Amino acid sequence: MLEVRIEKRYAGFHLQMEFSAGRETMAILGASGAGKTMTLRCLAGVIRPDRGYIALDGHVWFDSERRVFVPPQERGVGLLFQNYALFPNMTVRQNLLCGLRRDTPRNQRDEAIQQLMERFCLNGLGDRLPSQLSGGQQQRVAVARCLARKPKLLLLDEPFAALDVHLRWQLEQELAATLENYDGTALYVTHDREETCRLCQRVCVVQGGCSHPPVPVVEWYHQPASRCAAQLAGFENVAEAVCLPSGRAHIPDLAVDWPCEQADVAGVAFRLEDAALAAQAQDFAVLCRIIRSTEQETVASPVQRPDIYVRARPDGRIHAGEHAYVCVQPEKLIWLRREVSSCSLRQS
Amino acid sequence: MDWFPLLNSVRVALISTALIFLLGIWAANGITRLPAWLKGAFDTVLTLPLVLPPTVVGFFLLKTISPKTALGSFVLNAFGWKLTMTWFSAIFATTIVAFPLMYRTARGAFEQLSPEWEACAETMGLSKRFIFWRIKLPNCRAGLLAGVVLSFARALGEYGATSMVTGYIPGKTATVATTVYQLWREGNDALAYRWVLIDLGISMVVLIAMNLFEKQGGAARAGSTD
Repeated sequence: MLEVRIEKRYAGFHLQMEFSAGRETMAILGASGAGKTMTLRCLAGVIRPDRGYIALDGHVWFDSERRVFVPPQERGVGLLFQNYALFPNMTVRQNLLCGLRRDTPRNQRDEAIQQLMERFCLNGLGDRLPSQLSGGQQQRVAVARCLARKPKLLLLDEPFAALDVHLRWQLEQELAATLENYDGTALYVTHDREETCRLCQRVCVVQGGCSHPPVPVVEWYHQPASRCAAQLAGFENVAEAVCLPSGRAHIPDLAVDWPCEQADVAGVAFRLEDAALAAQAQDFAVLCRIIRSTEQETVASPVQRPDIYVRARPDGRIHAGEHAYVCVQPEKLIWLRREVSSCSLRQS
Repeated sequence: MDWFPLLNSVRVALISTALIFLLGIWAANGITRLPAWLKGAFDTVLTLPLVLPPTVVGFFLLKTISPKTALGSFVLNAFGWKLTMTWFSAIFATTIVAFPLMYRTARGAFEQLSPEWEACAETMGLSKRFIFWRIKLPNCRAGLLAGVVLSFARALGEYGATSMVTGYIPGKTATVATTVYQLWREGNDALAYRWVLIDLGISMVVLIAMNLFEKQGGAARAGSTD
């Protein structure tokens, strides 16, 4: 069980993360610059947070009140860097040797490395330098080095960011198998919703340095709680909404009032495939002018808000310049609550 | 032709380069861990000899180590070593004058290292010592070599500070640089030309060596050698 409650201030940036994770793969999901990488570094002990508490399985790594700080060397985490951080002056074998636990007996080291090389398909590459490996091989070495010491906590920082698209899928399968066999907590930093869906069980959304409470991936994907979560889940249409006393909600971006039974609504979201074009108004409809119609989607602007784009299902019958109602299937419309993040929790 | 000035120059330059190498790396590595305001202050002090006239360095040195000063007289009385007007006095002068070249080159090399290597090594339980000797140093080898060559060249050609603390004693403290000056004063242009040519030759060899190191460094980084 990993418990995290940390705070760190930089000029112009305030990191406030609060979450816990069990023996699972949890995504730390956020836009670039949201503080995901910084969070991993705090957990690894490379950066020291200003305040807070970090513990894994009851072992306290950081506690600002009791002045506990366990240095990175003693935490035993596996940190996989975005660009792998392989040591360029060392061969694959030497790199892996660095990853082994310091207390591995000398006569067992060769065997341990041989096993790692077999497990990660690195046979025959032991004497090569990182610069002589392909991107995929480099990643395998980095993953192998990371797991060599059998870490109790695995921190993966966008492991596919540096790879070509065609390589990603294959290496993702390898990583998925590795994660399935891994007995511990893994945090997976990413901004990619598909990787999140395929590799993770829960997701912790990070926005502007603040964490949202972790939720199961299925829940985040189908019922995102906040506008930020909805955007990261790939909802093409996300807008602000304001509750009206009359049991409706006003959506300024669409210049409409739609029926809304929930209280405390702060936004609305719907996917492209759940919005269709129609000639007649319905409950959840907005009159739009069609901007562009392609095989993938129809782009339209509300008649009263020509500065806003709405994305709907493709419809070959309607052409650019014409007017039509964009209608959202009522059961697919998601009302979003106010942003629930570690920051707002603390301020209240 | 008396070859003493060349031998003396090379001897002084080699010793001071060795000192500068250790001091420069130590200072460059240490300064990266200081808070920003201290970093600026130290950096200024350590770089100062690069922009000061060597005669000012020589002046300060004389005011510190000559037998008339507390330090100089203490060393003279305790060990019987006179710190000025001997061949090794030049080591103090050249070390100070050439130090900033090594320090700044090494600092640049350390700063260009990916900070992730150190962070990664720390999470793998590697000690600070191992990280420094086995990861940081080997990966900025080209930069450090360039710094060594530059400081060696500077130490070899140092004139101003050296002449102030060693004077010119033929066969005792004469270096190539002070010899050229002396020969010109005596009007012995023929011999002065010889020394000038020797100095030119050494300088060109050094600069060519440095270019080679730089090329090698670039190639190693691109991953085509080794």
